Amino acid sequence: MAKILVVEDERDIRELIEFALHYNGHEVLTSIDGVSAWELVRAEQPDLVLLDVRMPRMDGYEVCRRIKRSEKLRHIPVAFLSAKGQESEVQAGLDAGAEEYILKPFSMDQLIQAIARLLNN
Amino acid sequence: MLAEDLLVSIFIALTLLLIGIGIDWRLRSSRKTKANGADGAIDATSPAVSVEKPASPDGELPFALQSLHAALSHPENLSALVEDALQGISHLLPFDIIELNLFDRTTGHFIPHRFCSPRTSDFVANMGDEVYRLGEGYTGWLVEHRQSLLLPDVGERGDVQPKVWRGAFPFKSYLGTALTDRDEIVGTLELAHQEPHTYGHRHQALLETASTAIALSITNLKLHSQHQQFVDEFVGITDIQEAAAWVHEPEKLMGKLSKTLSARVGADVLGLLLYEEDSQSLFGQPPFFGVPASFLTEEFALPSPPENPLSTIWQTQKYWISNTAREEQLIDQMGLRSFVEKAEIHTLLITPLGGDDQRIGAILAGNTDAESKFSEGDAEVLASLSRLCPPLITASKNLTGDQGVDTPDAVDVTTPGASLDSSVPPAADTPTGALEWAEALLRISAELSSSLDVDRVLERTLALTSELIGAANAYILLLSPEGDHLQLRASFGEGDPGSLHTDLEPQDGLASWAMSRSQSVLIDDLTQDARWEVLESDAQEQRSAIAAPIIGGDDAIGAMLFTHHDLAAFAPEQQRLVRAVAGQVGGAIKNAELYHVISDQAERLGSMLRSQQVEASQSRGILNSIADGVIVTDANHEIILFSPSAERILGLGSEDVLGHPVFDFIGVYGAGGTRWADAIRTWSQNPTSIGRVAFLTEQLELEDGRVISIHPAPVLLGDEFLGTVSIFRDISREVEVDRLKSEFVATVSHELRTPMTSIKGFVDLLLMDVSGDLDDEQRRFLEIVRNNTFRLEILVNDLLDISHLESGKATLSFQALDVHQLLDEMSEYVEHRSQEEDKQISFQVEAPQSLPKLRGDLERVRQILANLVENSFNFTPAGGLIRILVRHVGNQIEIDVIDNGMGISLAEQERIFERFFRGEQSLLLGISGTGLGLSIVLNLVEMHGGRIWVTSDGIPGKGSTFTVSLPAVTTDDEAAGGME
Repeated sequence: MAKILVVEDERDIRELIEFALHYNGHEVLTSIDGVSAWELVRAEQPDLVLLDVRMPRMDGYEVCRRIKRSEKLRHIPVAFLSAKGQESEVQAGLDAGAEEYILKPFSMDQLIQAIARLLNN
Repeated sequence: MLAEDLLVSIFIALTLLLIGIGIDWRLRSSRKTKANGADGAIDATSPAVSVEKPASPDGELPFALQSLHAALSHPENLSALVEDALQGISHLLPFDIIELNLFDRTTGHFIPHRFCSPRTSDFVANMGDEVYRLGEGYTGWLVEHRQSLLLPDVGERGDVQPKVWRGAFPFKSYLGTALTDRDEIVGTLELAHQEPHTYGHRHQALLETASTAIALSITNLKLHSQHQQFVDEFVGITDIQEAAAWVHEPEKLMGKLSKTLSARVGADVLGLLLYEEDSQSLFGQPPFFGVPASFLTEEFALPSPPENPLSTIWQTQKYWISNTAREEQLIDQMGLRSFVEKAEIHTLLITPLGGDDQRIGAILAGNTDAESKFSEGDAEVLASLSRLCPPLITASKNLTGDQGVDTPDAVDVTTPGASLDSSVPPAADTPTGALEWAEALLRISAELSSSLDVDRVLERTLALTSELIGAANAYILLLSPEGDHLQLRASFGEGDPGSLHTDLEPQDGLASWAMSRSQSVLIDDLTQDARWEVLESDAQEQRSAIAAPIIGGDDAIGAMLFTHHDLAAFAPEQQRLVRAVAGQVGGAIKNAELYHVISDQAERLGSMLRSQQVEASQSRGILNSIADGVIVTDANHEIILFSPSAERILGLGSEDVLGHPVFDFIGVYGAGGTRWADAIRTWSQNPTSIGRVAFLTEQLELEDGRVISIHPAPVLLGDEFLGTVSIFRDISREVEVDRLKSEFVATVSHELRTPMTSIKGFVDLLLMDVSGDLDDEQRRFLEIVRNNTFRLEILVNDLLDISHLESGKATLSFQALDVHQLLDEMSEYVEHRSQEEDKQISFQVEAPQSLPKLRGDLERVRQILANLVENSFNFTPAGGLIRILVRHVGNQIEIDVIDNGMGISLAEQERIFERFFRGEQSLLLGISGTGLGLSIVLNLVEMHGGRIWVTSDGIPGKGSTFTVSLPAVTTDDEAAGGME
C-alpha cells in the first residue's frame, strides 16, 4: 500500500493507470500538468511519482529535476511514462534523475512490475 | 531517390564533359602559352616552369600544336622561325636541352640551334658553334633512318653513337626526330633530359607531329624567299625592258642597266665588265652605278684572260662572293685592287654577264658597308637578269658600229637573221628586235604570274612564245607525278595535238632528250636527227625544232618543244628566248605546286580549328545549360572551368576562382570540403590506384545554411591524371524535405503511441478480469485486440527506427564485441521462444574458439542478429534447425544464419531487403511482421561498414542462409584505444 502520484495530461491514460493502481491496492493522486504536479509532490510527499514527459506549463523533465534537487524529496523514486522512445530522449529522462523510463504503450504487467521494483528499493 | 537522381546527372554530365573537357583545356592552355611567350621564355627563370611542369601532352596536344603553327606562320627569317620553333617545343615537352639542327645542303653539315633549361644554360653557353656532319651521333641515325628515336635510358642503346656533347652534359633521356619535307631532309629536332624515363611514346608522337609542322614552316619560308626572288626578277625584267629604250645611247643604257641591277640586289656599287674579243680583254663599261666616273680611268685595265681569274667566272657561269674583298689576293689578280679600294668596297659579288651561249662579260657588285653581305640568292637574281642584257648591249654596240666602227661581231650575229624569210620574227640582236624581245618576255612573265591555274597559264605562254618565234606547233610536256613518263600538258598550232606522243618514255624523243640533259637544242633538219621520232600519223612533217628543258627547283620537270615545217626555221636567238621562257615556266609550275601544298595545309589547319571551335562551343553550351554546377580542375589542381550554375550555387564569380588552385576555396567548406580536397590530392598523387569508376559524394554546408551535395570524379587518360570534374547541386530543399519527412514520421508515430497505450492498457485490464469474469469468447476476442495492438506497436517502433536511421542522425558507439557471448544470447532467445510457443526448434553454433572481437555497437549488432534469428525461427516449422556458422575472413567476421525452413524464391531474394516487402509465405502462413526488419538490418550492417546477403534455393525444407559480414577489430583499433 503506497501513495503514488500519477502525472498525465491524457485523461484516458490517467484513468487507466489510476484504475490499475487502485486495483492493486495503492492510494493514487493525479495531476494533469507539471506545475500542479510539483505542488502536489511538495505537499503530499508521495512514495512514487509516475511522470508523463510532454505536458502543459512544465514538462516532466523539469518536475523530475526539481524533485531530485530537493534534499527533502530526492528519495522519492520517479518513473517516466513516455511515447518518446529514441535513445536521446530516454537518456534525457535518466539524466534528469529518473529511476525508470517506461515506453508507451506499456503492458499492465510491465507497469505493475516496474512499480513493485521501485517501491521495494 | 535523391541519390539516384544525382547519379544519373553525374553520368550524363561526365559523358558530356569527357567529350568537351579536352577542348576547354586547350583553350586554357593557349592562354597560358601566350602568357609565357609574353614573358619571354628565353630568359633563365621562365623555362624552369616548363621543366618542372611540362604541359600535359594529351589534353593540350592539338591546341599546343596550333599555337606552334601560329607561332611559325609569320617568320621573317630563318632565325626567327628557329626561335619560334624552339619556344613552341619548350611548351610542349619536358627538356634540359632542345636542339634544332638545320641541314645545310651545300656543306652537308647540320647547324645546331639550342634552347636550354636553367640546369643546362651554362653548359650550352660554352658549347660553341661546332656543327654535326652527316652520319654523326644520334643526329646521323635520325637522318639515316628518317624516323624518330626514343631512348628512355640512354645507356640502353649501344648501337647508336651518342651525342658528341654527352660527356659534358650527361643526360639520361633522349628523344629525337628527323625533320623532313617530302622525303628531303631539312634537319633534326632533338631533346635531352637529365632524368631517365622522361619521355614516353606519347611524347614521341607529339614530337613527330610538331616536327612535321616545323619542317613545313621551314619549307614555306624557303618558298617565300623563292617567291621574293621571282618578284625581284620580274621587276628586274620590267626595268631592263625599260632600259631597251636607251639602246641608241650606249652610255645611258649602261647607266640604266647598272642602276637597275644594283637596285635588285641592293648593291652600293655596280658595274658591267665587258669582254672585247678584238683585244681579248675585259674592260669596265662606264658608267658604274654608285661611283664617280673619275674612278674608271685607264688604270681600270684588267689583265687579259686566261690569266685573269675573272675569265673563270664568266666562262664557268659560277659566281664569286667575298665578304672581305680588300683582303682577297684574287682582287690583285683580277686587277680590281685600286678600284675596290677607291670605291671603298668591303663586300663583293661577281657574276657572269649573259647566258650559256652568249657570255659577254661579268657583273661586279659591291657594298661599302662591311655588314651588307651578298647572298647566293642575290647572285642568282643577278645571273638570271644578266641573261637579258647581252642582246641590248650587242644591239647598242651595233648601233654605235653603224655610226662608225664596223665590228665583225655585228656581221656574224646579224647574218642568221638576214638569211631568214620574212615570216620569221626579228631576232633579238637588232634594236627593234631587242625591244620586242624584252616586251615579249615581259608579257610572258606577266602571263606566268597572272594565275595559279597551271594549264591555262601554260596554254597562253605557249601561244605567246610561238607567235614570237614563229613556230608552227608548240608543246609543253611535263613529267608525270610518278616520274616515269612525260605527259602532254599544253599544245599550240596546227593539226591534232594528239598526233604527238602524249605519253613518252623519259628516255625517248627530243623533249625527253632536252629534259634529261637539262639542255636546250636547236635542230635545223629533223629528218637528219635520230632524236626526232616520226610518227605515221603526223599530219604534216616537221622539219625544224627547238627544245628546251623546264627546270623547277633543282630538277628538270619537263620540256618545251617548238616545231616548224620549214627547214632551219629557227635562229639561236629564238633558242635563247625559248630557254628563258622555259626557265620561267619551271618557276611558275613549282610556285603553283607549292602554293597548292600551302593552301592544302592552310585549309586543313583551318578546318581543324573550325571543327574544334564548333565542338568547344557546343560543349560549353551544354555545360552552361546544365542546372548542376560544374568545376573542372587541371592536373595542377587549378580551376579551369567554373560553370554559370556553379557561380549561382556557390555565389562566387568565375573570375575570382579561375586559374586559382581549387584548394584555395574548398577549404572554407568544413569537413566535407576537406574530404573533397583530400580525394583530389589522392587521385593526382596515385592515379593508378583509382578504380575504373571513382566517385565521392560529400555534403557541404554554406554559411547561409544551404546544403550542397558535391560529386567529384577524377579524369584519367590511361594512368595519367588529367584533372577532376566536380558536379554539385544545391540540395537545401531536399535536405529540408527529408528532415520534415523524418519529423513527420516521428510525430505521427508518437501520436499513435498515446491512443495505443489506452487501448492496450484497458484490454489488459479487462483480461485481468478487473471488471468481472469474462467468458471464453469475450476473452478470445480481447486477445485478438491485444495481439493486433502488439503488431501495431512493432510497426510504429520499426517506422521510428528506420526513419531515425535514414535521417543519418543515428550514431554508433563502437566497441569490441565478443561474438560467442552474442550467440549465447541468441541461443537463449530460441530456447525461450521454443518453450513459450511450444515449437521445438534446435539451435547449433559452429564457431572457431580463437575468434577476434567484432567491431560494432552492442545494441545494434544484437538487433541485427536477433532479427535474423527471429526470422529463421518464424519461417521454420516445428522440429526445425537453426545453424550459425562463424568464419574469420580477412578483416571481416562472417556469420551465416542457416535454417531449414521454407526458403525464399529467387525473385523474392532480390526484393527482400526493400522496405515493407513481405514474402508470399509470410502472408500465407500469417506470420506477423512489418516488412521493415531486414530493411533496418541492412541499414545497420552498412552503418557498420559490413555487407549482408541471402542465398536460398527457394525449395521448402532446404531453407535459406543469411550471411552478415562485419568488420573485426584490428590491431590499429586496439592501438588507438577506446575498444573494450
